[in-house]
Amino acid sequence: MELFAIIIGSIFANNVVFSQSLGICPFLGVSNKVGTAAGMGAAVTFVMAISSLVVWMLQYYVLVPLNMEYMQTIVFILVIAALVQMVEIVLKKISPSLYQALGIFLPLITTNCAVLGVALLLVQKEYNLLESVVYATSIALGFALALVIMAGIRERFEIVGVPKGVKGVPIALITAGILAMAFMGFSGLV
Amino acid sequence: MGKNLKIFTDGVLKNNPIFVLVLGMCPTLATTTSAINGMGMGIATLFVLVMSNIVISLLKNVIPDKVRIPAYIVVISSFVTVVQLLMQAYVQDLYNTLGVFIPLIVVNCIILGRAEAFASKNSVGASALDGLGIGLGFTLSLTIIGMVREILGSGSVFGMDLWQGDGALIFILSPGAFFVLGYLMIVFRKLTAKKN
Amino acid sequence: MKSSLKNMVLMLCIIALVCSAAVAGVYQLTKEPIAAAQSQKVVDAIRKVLPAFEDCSERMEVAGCGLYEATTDGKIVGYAVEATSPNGFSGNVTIMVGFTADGTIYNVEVLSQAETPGLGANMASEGNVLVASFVGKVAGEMNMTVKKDGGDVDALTAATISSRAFSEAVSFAYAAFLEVSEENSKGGVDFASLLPAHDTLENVESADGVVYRAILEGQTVGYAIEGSSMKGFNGLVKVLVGFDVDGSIINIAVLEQNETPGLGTKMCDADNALIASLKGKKASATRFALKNEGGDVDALTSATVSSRAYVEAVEAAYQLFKKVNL
Repeated sequence: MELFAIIIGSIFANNVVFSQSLGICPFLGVSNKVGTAAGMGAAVTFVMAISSLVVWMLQYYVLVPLNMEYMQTIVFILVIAALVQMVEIVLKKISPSLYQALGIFLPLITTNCAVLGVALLLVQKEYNLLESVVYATSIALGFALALVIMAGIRERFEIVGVPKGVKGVPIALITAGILAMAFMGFSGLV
Repeated sequence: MGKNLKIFTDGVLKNNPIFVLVLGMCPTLATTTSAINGMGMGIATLFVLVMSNIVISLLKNVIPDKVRIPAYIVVISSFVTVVQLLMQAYVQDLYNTLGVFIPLIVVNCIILGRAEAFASKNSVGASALDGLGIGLGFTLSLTIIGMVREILGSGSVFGMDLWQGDGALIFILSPGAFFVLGYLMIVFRKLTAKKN
Repeated sequence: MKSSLKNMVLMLCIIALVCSAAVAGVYQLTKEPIAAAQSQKVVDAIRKVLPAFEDCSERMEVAGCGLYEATTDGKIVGYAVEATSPNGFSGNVTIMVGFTADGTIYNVEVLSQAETPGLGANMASEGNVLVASFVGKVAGEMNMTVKKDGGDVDALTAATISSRAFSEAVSFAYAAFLEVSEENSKGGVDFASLLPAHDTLENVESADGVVYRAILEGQTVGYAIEGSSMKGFNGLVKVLVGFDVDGSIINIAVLEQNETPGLGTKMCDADNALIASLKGKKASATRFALKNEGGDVDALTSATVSSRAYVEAVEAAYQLFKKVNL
């Protein structure tokens, strides 16, 4: 039940993009086409699931025993950066087809603040290992959902006549605002 | 002198990180619920930006090319942690309000972007000025967004009530962040377009 | 600069080392200001959530919360409990809850929160409905969940999640308060009122019941002895009776009872008819029965059954006294 609440809460009610304002840069940058949006979403989900696992173990088996919680930020970002590199290398060797699909998005993930944000949040919320992985995966799914919806809408902007000064980022932001309002409807859910 | 001034003003206007480069969107949207919060976030980022620009510019000749990104990340995240500790010690309320977005300065693309694009190629003085300019542009933008959201959302500026009663709450919530930033961006485009 | 394996590893190590040393240095420097800023905030909050008091204990860790005991002249004024709920809308909600000794919530103060300004953040504003639905309530008699979930708490407008987290934190605080106040009601008997002046109190191992021996400069000066009866109106009545060495009853404290409120419960009052007719009497010369049943003890009004049980419990203590005071 608890896990179910985490899943629904993280995907809809506390959607990482619309309600927590994390991961906005890739949200605005890679939401032009549905295909690329889905690819980015998948890559983020993959990395977040693994990084939450690693970060959790690092926090509770290394940082806490050593009394070095204040080094959190430095350690987490390095681990995430290294992890992304490793995932890239491993993927290239093991599954070239998956690498073809996700590869170009991987380097972008290091600077996706949602990944580091989730790592810090799951420590702050004192989740256990299972909850952490479920939480991170759901957050990433919420991110993918936001990205795909947004891309679907933005594809239409290509066809309709958007005024020059509003084109691009401004119209994307205003659309995101309306979507965020729609997502507020979920807030009573959990 | 003229060149230095240009580096500085470019950061504020022509290369405004938010309205022109569209970088560092997460803190921009999340922490601008009031003018003072936006300003606090801006100043914290400004500090990290100037310091990391200086250090990276100093180190540019000794860092091997292939590991420059990890090296930059270490430097930046150290300064972020320093800011984190300082804020915890002296402005705890602000630190609590900004929450997870203080450590997230690490992944603010502006900082790594400036390190890579400017500090690693220019002198210490110029890098510091660039950091100052971009940082001020960032702080100014955040404060303006925060002000607009605070006026519309809670009817006050910097905590001082402008009128009795509440504002339109939606502007303090995340949809309002998107709206305000979107419309301000349109206004900024309009204004700068005229100048050119 | 050209990259070679040697200089790559070397430079990265140097940078990492210098940076972590610098951070560790700043950490050491800011450690005290951070602690000071935090403790100042805590002290201010304790003052706000409790009635005026003189002294405040150090932080005690109870049931996952931080508990502070506030006293005036050694008497407990109340407890301030710092509790955190991790389930706020954006992260932790930490509050300080003040309980007076009888379990009434005196006030609640928010220590830290990062909820939405204008909505959840209103929990920290003056006179909001959320805090108001706790203040002045007896914690044990309320359901600490929001009305939407069937409880007694008014949620903040459009901030159910924040209100839930707040309520959860109060309930954590209450759990900690309960643990401490229960401990005190067990071990916290006021022996000074039961026994002559003494410097040590020794728990005498006895197969027959609980006996405390009061000692002054090596000499036994009195005993506090537990006695109980199962014949109360609602079962067990347990008392602690203080005797001096001559067998005079100094005072009596009720440890446990489930009698009818307002009638049998009067046995707990400081100067009720029961105590008045036993206090200061030589136990050996007392007939342990109610007056209308041929004894020396005045019964409580309309609580004959409870009074009988009380007398029986005191007599049981006296029987034990005879065994230990040889």
